[in-house]
Amino acid sequence: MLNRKLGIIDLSKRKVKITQTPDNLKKAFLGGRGLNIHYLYDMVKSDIDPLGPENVLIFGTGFLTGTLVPNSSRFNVSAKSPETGILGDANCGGYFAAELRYAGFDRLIILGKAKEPSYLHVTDGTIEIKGAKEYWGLDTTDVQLAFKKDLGQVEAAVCGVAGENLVRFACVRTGVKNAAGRCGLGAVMGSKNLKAVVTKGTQGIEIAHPEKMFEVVEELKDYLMSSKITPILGSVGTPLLYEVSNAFGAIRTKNSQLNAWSDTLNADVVETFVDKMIGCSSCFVHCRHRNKLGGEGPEYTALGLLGANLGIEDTAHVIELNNICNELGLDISSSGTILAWVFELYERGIIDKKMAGEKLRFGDFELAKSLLYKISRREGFGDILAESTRNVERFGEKSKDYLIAVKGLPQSDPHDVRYMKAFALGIATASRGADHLRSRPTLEIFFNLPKEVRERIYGKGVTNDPTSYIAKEKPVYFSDNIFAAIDCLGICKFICHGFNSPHYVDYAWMKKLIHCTSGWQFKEKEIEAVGKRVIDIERMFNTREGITRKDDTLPKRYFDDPMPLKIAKGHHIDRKEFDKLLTRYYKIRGWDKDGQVKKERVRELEALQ
Amino acid sequence: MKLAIELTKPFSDAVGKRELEVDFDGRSVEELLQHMTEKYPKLRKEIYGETGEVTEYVIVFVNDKPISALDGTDTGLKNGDKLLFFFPISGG
Repeated sequence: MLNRKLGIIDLSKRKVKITQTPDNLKKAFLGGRGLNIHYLYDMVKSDIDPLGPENVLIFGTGFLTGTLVPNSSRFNVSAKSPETGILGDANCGGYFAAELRYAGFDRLIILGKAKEPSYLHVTDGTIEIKGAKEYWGLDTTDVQLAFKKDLGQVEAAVCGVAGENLVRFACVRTGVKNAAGRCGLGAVMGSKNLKAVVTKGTQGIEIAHPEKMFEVVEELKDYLMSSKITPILGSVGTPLLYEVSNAFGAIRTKNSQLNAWSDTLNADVVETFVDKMIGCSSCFVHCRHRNKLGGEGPEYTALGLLGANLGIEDTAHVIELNNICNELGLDISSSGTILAWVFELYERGIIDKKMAGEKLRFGDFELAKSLLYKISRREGFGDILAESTRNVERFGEKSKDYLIAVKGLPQSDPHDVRYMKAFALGIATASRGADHLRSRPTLEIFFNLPKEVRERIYGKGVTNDPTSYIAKEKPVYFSDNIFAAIDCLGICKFICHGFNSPHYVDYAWMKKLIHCTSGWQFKEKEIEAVGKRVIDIERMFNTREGITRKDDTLPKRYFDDPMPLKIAKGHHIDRKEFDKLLTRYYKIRGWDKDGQVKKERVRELEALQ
Repeated sequence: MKLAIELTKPFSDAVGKRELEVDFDGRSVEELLQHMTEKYPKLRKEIYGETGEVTEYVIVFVNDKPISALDGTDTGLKNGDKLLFFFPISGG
């Protein structure tokens, strides 16, 4: 359990060093997202080009990844983001991370740039840098199949053509659909001439208390399976969210000019395209659906951002766009947001045919499809779009008014946050930019949550009204912390307390799981402290890149344009109330009024480096 | 009173349709839930837990607010109210 290695690979010097993360650091950060930011903060200098050889790319498995612990498939990929210029970090499932641990490694830190296309071949205790000329140019599924053909039953994390061509929102892919999707980390792979990390291991993970482990896992499995959430996610998957958001009037539509779209993208229609449901390693939920069009998905994000946000109604068309993004290695969230942005800019005359090379419009499947290919190859207007939100400079300051992004990161999910104020604060303060997976306080919408349960989870004074600003810093703070902790453990958020349920894996469960796997005795508060530590260091990383209070904000449209349709009609974010809410969030987190980690805490955390 | 009710999965599956216009003599959401589960027995397991309490896995909006922000299941209803039932779920 604790003997997995740290591989440091310098692609420029073609040198591999195998070492180990000291136990004191594992106790401070556990693993996954936590240890990744520890190393990133230490190793990345603030003025570097994210696509230059100085950037550091880290693949880090969670503390419990690859064990029997339910849904412990996760790993984080981290680097300075070429899309935002701040923290780049993305969490991913599948089978790769468990295999990396079976090969003897917790974490790989990749430095420099290879002279020619390369891949890392990680097998039991060894790491080799190998040539990848024959794999360069292949789509994400094809290249993984090629590795399996050439090397046997390996697992791989790869970049697609988009990553090779340094598209700033290229993702890292494993399997048919699993992605470390956000922040352009596939482009960091491309910038290092690194096509893939390929791994196969035969080393089991030693467990400190195996009998206790079986007992706890069995108990947790029964607990998870008794929930109503688990079977619904396992039969429908996240497409259910589309119907919910759409019925409510919270689906980002045509670049958030509208907030509701067609029922043709509802889960029951998507189900007609589903071949089968599958899961990641150790998964009890099985929320992933293979589709009949030769790919996997669509998730809620794809339905919303490649469907409603682009004005596309035809389910098959949305699934095809989803599959194309997956094969090219493009982040679906950024793809759908950036395309919708330029469609609106064209409609408004802010960009023209001379720049775009053709007429841009919502609802045109063939146009969207052709632009995705052009982006991935940086052809024509695609070369411009590949620069993502950095195009504000090119398109002009006015274009920023219509950009649905925070800190340069296009919003991750299709949920229009103007109604639920805690959701809005969450995307404004998330450490990688506009993202729901850092702190989405879903319990905000649980109506039947007894007051004592709500107060036990979130603290006192949080109102039941999701449109109220009162004490809404507390749900975000709670969610931020526990989601960071679960990202360090390598467990999927679908079974994290507070994400989909007031039950599921809370700090008490985490404590039991850490103990039976490693023998380490953590107190619940100490696990929460790991999450807080991670968030503080992520903020310190971003501070070094120039992030201040002014960046913890929302798209202009969320402040100034009330939602036009359905239940959410008329709702928007009030600037003054939001500002006060942000101040309260900083206070509860212990940051100063400008949103910076206080000096004493900085010294404490830097002493760990 | 007449109420317009929109249902999403799994409530729509239990009822067999996504939209209902309900003619209702009661006063509160609690009475409406009883009325609906009597009329659509398959809905019972989606609304109530094993102990007969309303499950936490149903969210009901009355017009533009969830009943959590109103009076819970005691929330009063009036002619012309629009209700939405949905399952709490998150993800991406």
